[in-house]
Amino acid sequence: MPDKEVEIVISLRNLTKKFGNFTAVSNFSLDVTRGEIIGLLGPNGAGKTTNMKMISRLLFPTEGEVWIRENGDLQRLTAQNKDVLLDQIGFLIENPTFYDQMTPKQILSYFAKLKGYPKKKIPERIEEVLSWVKLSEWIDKKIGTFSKGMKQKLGIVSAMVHDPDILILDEPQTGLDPKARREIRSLFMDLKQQGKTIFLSSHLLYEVSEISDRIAIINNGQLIAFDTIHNLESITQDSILKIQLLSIPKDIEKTRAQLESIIKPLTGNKNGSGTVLYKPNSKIFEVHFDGNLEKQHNILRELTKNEIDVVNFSVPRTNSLEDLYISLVSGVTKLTPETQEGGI
Amino acid sequence: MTTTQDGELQTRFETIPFGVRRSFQQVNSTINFEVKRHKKNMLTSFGVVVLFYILSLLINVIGERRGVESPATAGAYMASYLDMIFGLFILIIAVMYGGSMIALDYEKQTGNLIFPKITKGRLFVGRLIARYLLAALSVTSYYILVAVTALIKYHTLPVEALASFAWALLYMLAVLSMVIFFSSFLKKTSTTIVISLVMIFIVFNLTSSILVIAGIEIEPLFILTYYSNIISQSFSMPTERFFEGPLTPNPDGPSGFQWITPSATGAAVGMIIYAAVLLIAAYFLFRRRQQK
Repeated sequence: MPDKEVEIVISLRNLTKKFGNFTAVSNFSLDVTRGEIIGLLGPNGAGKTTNMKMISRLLFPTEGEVWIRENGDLQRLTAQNKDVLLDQIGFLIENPTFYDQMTPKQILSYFAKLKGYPKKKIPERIEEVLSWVKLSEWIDKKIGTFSKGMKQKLGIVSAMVHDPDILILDEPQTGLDPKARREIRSLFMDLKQQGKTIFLSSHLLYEVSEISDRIAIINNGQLIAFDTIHNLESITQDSILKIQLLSIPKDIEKTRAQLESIIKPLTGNKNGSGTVLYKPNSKIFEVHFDGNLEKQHNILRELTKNEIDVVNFSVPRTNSLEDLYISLVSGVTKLTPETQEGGI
Repeated sequence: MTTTQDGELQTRFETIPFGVRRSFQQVNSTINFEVKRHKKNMLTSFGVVVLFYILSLLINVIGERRGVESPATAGAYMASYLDMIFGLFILIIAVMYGGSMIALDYEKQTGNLIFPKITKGRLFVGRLIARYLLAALSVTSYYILVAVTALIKYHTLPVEALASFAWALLYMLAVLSMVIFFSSFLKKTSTTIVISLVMIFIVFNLTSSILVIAGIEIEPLFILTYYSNIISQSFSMPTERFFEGPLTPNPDGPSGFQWITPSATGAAVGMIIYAAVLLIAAYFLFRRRQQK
């Protein structure tokens, strides 16, 4: 058995799903290692749910394979071994829909029994998982009376009721209010602390980036990036420095050239940025650089040393991951094969 | 998922391992769950039982009041409750329990939660047993009401009632199988119900009429509704199995050939084959069916 820290528990290999002429997922390969949280991020219709459904065998792959670790070995998921391999996984696929006339107690009890949870411990377990999502008081109420958010919470705990080692959650925070989202994020972090592996999808970047160890970005059915958040953020290497002077210089071009001569040697941008631009509307000079704090400090020091009357010196805290995500899904940024495959 | 006092993660509970025991447990859990799930349907079906019983009772009572001679025996009296109207009753109960068996999980997407937790085979078996038991309960309730009425009226019950009851249960299985078959590939429960009703009421009856008019003498064992005749005819076995004669009141008009009652063997084999083929087909369609 490989080292536990890098033990692959789910391996998606060249997964492809076609619906007629439409390719929903194309050659999707990704490894999930034990104990980590992986966020599958992508716009609506990118293929996130289709991937999740192929893992749960709600959909059969047109091509490619799903491998799941069982008794120390990765085994290819088939119709024959589906029950055994999926036993250790809890699924939440799409918005959960329940039988309205049933109660959480009845539904969760049924699911726990199906998964072989010890019968005597089921009532206690149901109370425990419902308390995690503040639904204890609703244990005997009919699900038909629940709000969308409550059904979502029940869907999340229905994936956990049999205490699986791996959770596969498709858009788990859809329909939840901000408070509930925070509670669920906290719950996921607790589960990670307890050694659970979580593979979750979302189109909400913040929800994924807050808790995930690695992020896979999918668009048009293809994996376009898969790496740690730190590595993905460093890909952008582009921040904008905004400089406002005490007064508007009479000779703008002369001042711009002076600023550029001071700043350009300090920016270190490989692609030749460092060029100073003047924005007449905001009356601010802008400089592109790689966001390095030390360089930012050096630029400010040199400007002061050269007696430039700076009154405002800032780097707006734009979310570089968000920028990368948007540029990736819009096709502006292309990643190298190494970054697409990601690393552990 | 709890931690010990030392803060260490408690080991995973011991689940019941896979094998025959787990399979039985899954099927058993599914049966129990399905019965709970259909509590409301059970009340509705009991209402249907009472309604059909009252309608049949009214026909008998009004007929007697208007001078129609009462059936001579308790068996004949019970048979009057089990004629055409009973076929409709069986069909209503069958669509009530069978229509949603598979289609609903695709229509409402409830399958997203359930299918990853159990193989479709075990789910299919559990649901089939539960729904058949519930449907059989409705048939039993109807027979009890009819039997009690006959007992009050004639102070006796024919032993043939048991045979009739057995035929009714078998016919219910066959009709339920057909409904489940439609449920296995149609998108909606409502479509399943409509198609089942159309199939039983229109397609089978029209086919039957075409055979009579065409004078074809082949026994219509392929027509499911043909088997329902044995339920009431079993009170007067052996009975005439077919009718041959003029199709119109005019004796010189065209003649036809109509099968009335299947033989006991033919009915048993026919209905069992019908149910088996439809259920096997339904299972394989269900197994291959994917979520949207």
